[in-house]
Amino acid sequence: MSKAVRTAADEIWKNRVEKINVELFTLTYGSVVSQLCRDLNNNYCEVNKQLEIMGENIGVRLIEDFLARTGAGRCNSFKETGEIISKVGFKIFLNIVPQVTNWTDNGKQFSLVFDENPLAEFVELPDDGKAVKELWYSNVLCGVLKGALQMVQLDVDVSFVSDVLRGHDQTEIKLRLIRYLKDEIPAGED
Amino acid sequence: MIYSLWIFDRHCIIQQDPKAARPLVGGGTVNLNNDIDSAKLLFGALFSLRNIASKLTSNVNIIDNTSSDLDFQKQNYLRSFATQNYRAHYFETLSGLKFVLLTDPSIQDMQKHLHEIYTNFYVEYVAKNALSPVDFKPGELIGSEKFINSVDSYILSLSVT
Amino acid sequence: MTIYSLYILNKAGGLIYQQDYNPGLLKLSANDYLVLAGTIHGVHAIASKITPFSLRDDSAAAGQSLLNTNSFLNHPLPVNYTSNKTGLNFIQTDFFNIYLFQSLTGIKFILVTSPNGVLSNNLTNAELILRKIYIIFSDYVMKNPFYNLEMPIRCELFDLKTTQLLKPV
Repeated sequence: MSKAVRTAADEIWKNRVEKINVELFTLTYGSVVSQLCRDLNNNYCEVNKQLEIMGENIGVRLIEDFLARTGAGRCNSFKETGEIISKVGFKIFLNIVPQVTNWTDNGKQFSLVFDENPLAEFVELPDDGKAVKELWYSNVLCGVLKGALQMVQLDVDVSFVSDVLRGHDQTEIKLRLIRYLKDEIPAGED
Repeated sequence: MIYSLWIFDRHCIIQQDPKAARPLVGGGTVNLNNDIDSAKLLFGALFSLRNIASKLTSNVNIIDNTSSDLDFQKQNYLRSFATQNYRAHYFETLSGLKFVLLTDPSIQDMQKHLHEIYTNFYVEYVAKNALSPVDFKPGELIGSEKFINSVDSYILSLSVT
Repeated sequence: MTIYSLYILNKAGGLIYQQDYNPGLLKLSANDYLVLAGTIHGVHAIASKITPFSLRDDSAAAGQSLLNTNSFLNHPLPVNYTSNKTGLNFIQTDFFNIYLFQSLTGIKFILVTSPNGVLSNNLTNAELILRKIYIIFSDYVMKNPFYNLEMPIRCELFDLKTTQLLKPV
């Protein structure tokens, strides 16, 4: 089943997605983060928050593009949601396929482990002691996931667990399902 | 497969409750599924859709070629609406009687059948029956057994074909 | 099958886009269109409540099996998935047909067309057109950073692209 998903996502990536230069993308994101740091006087907690807000704005719009391009329907379980996010979502938008791991017993929390992160190519966090402890450079990804899932009636808490930029072994994002927003499900669905 | 038949009179009162006609089982249940809420919802939906239909086309003039001087303002009538699970066929008479048939979505046109139910059964057994009221009171239903039986058998014959 | 007009409703049932492509329908005031949109939104919801009795008990099972067969993992390539399993999706009158498509995010696309032709053919045609409109919407409206979600759509590119799609010269 997952092989079919992967080939389908590959097909969509090859044929229906416009591609841009990865360096342009990395540099643009990098200048956004560095400008934010300057504007907010290196208050990295605030920068993290702003990146997440930006990500949410992106996510609520990106979900429509995702749904329109893939014609995907509602997932039967949170596990399926995780699979779709990693194999189709990330593949289409960033051409990476993070691994889905660390499922809890109740199936309401999992982690995405990234072996590569196009946002953070060639990046080194500043050496002022604080950045390495406080800044999550790719926090916009958390916002994107949170905003997109919110538009399909899933209230999910998304946060970074570890980041290679901070010296950890791997880049890991944790997604925890808080609840289904049952009252916002559009009429006509069971 | 036909699910149920509803008849509303011009004052929005249900004359006949839905019969859950299951052709495979044979025989329906008349006036038993007295689900007033369902009836109100159905009527509300139909009323709104009728309004939409006439609002969007109320000025469409159809010139009848046989009488060239007259412009006939043809009213736009609702025919059916559907969801993925069922289709509701709607037929309305000039006197305000509304016939609604719920079937599965593959059945496409039941207008002539609804018309037949009206002319052959309703007019015969209810309208021509001097003892049955023309203006039904709320809660009063069609009691004529002949009507119920003949409509039952007619619908069952439809479902089998 | 000629296309008369397109309406787009936001999650709350408010009209955010309305455009006529071919003559055939009456021109109404802006207020009338808003009322029309709200009515359709309401009827769409009501339609799922009046499912016939014999379907209701099975609805849980039917819903489940529909979910399973329609799941993206079984049909990975784009499928005509509509988040509209029990709500209204088609209205037929003497002078026009109305097709509804609802996305997973609650946005409704309503297409008003002429009534001719075989019903089932028209249904798939209309569904394809609605999917294409959804793709154009996700491109030109959602990706416009100055567009506020749930607000009326005032994007020229969206107008241009939909007119190109629905009113071929």
